[in-house]
Formats: sequence, C-alpha cells, structure tokens
Amino acid sequence: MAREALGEFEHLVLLAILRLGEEAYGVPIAREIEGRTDREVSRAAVYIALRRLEKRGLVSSRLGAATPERGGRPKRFSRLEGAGLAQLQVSRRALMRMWEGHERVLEPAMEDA
Amino acid sequence: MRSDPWRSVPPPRLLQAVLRLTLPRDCRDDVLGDLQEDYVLRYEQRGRFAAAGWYLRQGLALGPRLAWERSRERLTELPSSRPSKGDGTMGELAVDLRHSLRALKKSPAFTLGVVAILALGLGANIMIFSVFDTVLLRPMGFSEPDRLSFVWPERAWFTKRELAGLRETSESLDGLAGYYLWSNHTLLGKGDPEVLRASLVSANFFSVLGIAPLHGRTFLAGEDQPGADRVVVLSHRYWQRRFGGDPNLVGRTLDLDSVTTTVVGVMPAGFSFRAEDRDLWVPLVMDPANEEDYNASYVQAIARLRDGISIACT
Repeated sequence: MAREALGEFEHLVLLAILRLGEEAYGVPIAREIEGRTDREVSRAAVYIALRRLEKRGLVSSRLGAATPERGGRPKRFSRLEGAGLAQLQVSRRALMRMWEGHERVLEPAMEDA
Repeated sequence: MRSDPWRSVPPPRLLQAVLRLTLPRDCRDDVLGDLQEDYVLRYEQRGRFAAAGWYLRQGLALGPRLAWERSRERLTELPSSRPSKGDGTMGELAVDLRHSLRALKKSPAFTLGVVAILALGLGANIMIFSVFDTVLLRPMGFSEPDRLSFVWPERAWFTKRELAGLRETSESLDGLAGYYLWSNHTLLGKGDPEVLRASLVSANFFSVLGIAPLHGRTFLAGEDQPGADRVVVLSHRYWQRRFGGDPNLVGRTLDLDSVTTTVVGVMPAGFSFRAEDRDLWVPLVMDPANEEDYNASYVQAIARLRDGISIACT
C-alpha cells in the first residue's frame, strides 16, 4: 500500500497515543492535545482521526471494561502499531529536514511563547 | 479533583438519547462513555451550564461528522482494493469524487443551493411524470395499445355505409369499430326519470380495444344489427352509484327510452374511452334500411391493426 503522509491532526493524535501508552483512549488523547497545543479539540476530529489511523493500520484498538462514571460504557483503548511508529519516524525525519537551517527563525517565536 | 464517582451527575438524558441516535453503531458506546466522562469532569470544574453547553456542542458535531466519515470510508474502499491508488478508471473516479465532495463541503451555501435546485428539479419532474402517467398512460388499459389506431376520413366523420364498406375492403385490420361518443338516453322506472350519458358503439368495440368486462359480457356480434334485442353495458361508476354495485344486476332489464333493455355486463373501474365519463354503452345499430341514419356522417372509428402491420403500411 502506498504510504500516505500524515495529516497534521493525525500526527498529533499518534504522538498523544505514544505518550499515553496503556492509558490512551478518547478522553486523555483529546486532553493531551488540548493541554500541549493550547487549543480546544473537537471530539469529532479525534474520533475521525482515530478511525482513519486504524483503517490505515497505524493504530489498533480494543474495548476495555465498563466503568460506572462512564454510565457503564467501555473505553476504547488505542495502541500504536509498528507501522504507526514507522510513519511517525518518516514524518519526523521529513519535518526535521525541512526545518534544517531555520532554527534562528524559530527561536524568537519560542521566546514569545 | 474528581470526588466520589458514584455521585457524579450524568449528562441530561434527552441529549444523550438524541446523540445515541445519531452515532454509528460501531463506536456508539465508547464515544458516549468518553463524552460522559468528559462531561463529569467539566461539571465539577466549571459547573453545570458550561458542561451541558460543551456536551451539546460536541454532540451536534459528532453525529453528522462521523456519518460523513463513514460514507467517505465506503467511497474510498473502492480504490483501496486495487494494488495502487489512482490507478485505473475506478480509482480516478473515486479520487475525483472525493475531490468534488471536499470542494462542496468547503462552500456549504453553494452546496445547499445546488441541492435545493436539484430537489426542485427532481420534484417537478416526478410531479409532471405522475400527472402524465395518470392522465395519458394509465387509462390505456387496452391490450397492445400500439396496434390500435384511430381512423379518420377527410371529413372527420364516417357514415355507417362508409364504415361497412371499409370493413369489407380492409385486409390490414383485425377489427374496425365505429362509435358515437355522446348519446343521451332516458331511464324510466323506479323513482324519477334519469338522463344517462351513453356512447353508441359497434358490437366489436370492446374486443377491438381488447378490454374485458368486470361482470357479465360485452356485446355479441349481431347485437348491433336491426331487430336484435336491446342490450347495454354499464360503467363501473354508474353501476356503483345507481345499483350499489349489485353483483346480480347482470341479466336484469331496465326501461331505457321506453324500450326494455337487458344489462349484459359491467366494465371494470377506471375504464374510459377517449377520457369520456360515460354511464353506459349502447350498440350502434347498423341498419341499411334506415337510409337517413345510414348515410349521415356522425360515426368515428378505431381500428386494431393486424399483427406485424404498422400504420405506414395501411
């Protein structure tokens, strides 16, 4: 299958799953992205990104146990697959190469933040 | 920050129920669970209204977007079964389709306009066709209507003599029936006299049209000859209106124009000829001895062409 580049939001979701490890499901994934990027994340965007990533085989999911504070509904845990990790590496390398030499442009922005 | 989870307040039931309806089945439960968990956190941190508002906003976006995503998945499943993307006609087609969908999604006002115009166009089309169908196509309950043809002399009306001559000479016809559409008759008997609207038709009229009666029979050969007993066939509507749909009416007699007349048949509902609403059909009597009538131009004709004969051949 031809490798499609990651969309920006898909990229963020994959990184969130990578960071959360065993605890990666809808709520913490959205909160992780919201907390780190300082923007409100639409839940619809998260679920759609997860569906697409799973369709492409970059992520797999399984249903966990139902818990009372969720109204007795299960969590769907996501897991990064090998192909997902490889895709992240490809994307990271591509971005790093594109950023090469631009660090000085980047720095003032980082000071502002 | 979260206190006892057992005391947490769930999202409003109505919102949950509506959202439940809009979500695709394969992710309904886990998404609802996630939203509830998020709602409870927000409720504790920011209060009830903020939490409910958030839940409503997320919920409104979720149903349609997930549905959209699912239809998109179905579309893109076409090319993914091929070895490489964008390869072959179907692949290109799917790519084009996705491109168009995306373009349409970007300009919702335009899309809405297009959809509205299409809907109006389709609606108008369906309406016109259904009128056309009911008015022009359905009433032709005749068998093989493409073999039926109106026959017109130059003057528009035949005399009975011409009709008889035409029957003898024409070899391309299975049958030729004469008719006169508008003939009034008076029904006497029980109750007030009633004026009935009839058409006069040749004995072979119904067999030329290829239509069978609902009850009884239509006219027999010879029943349009002078001296034959007077018989009539009733329309379904008149049979219902005047005789309450009496199934034993066939064979009974009426006093029509002071002549004892036997009802031999009833036509099925919806049968009409040339869209005329008639109460009954009466034989068109062919009597050469009645010279004035026999030579008067007032008869029209319809023919059934022999199988394999087109109008151009006749």
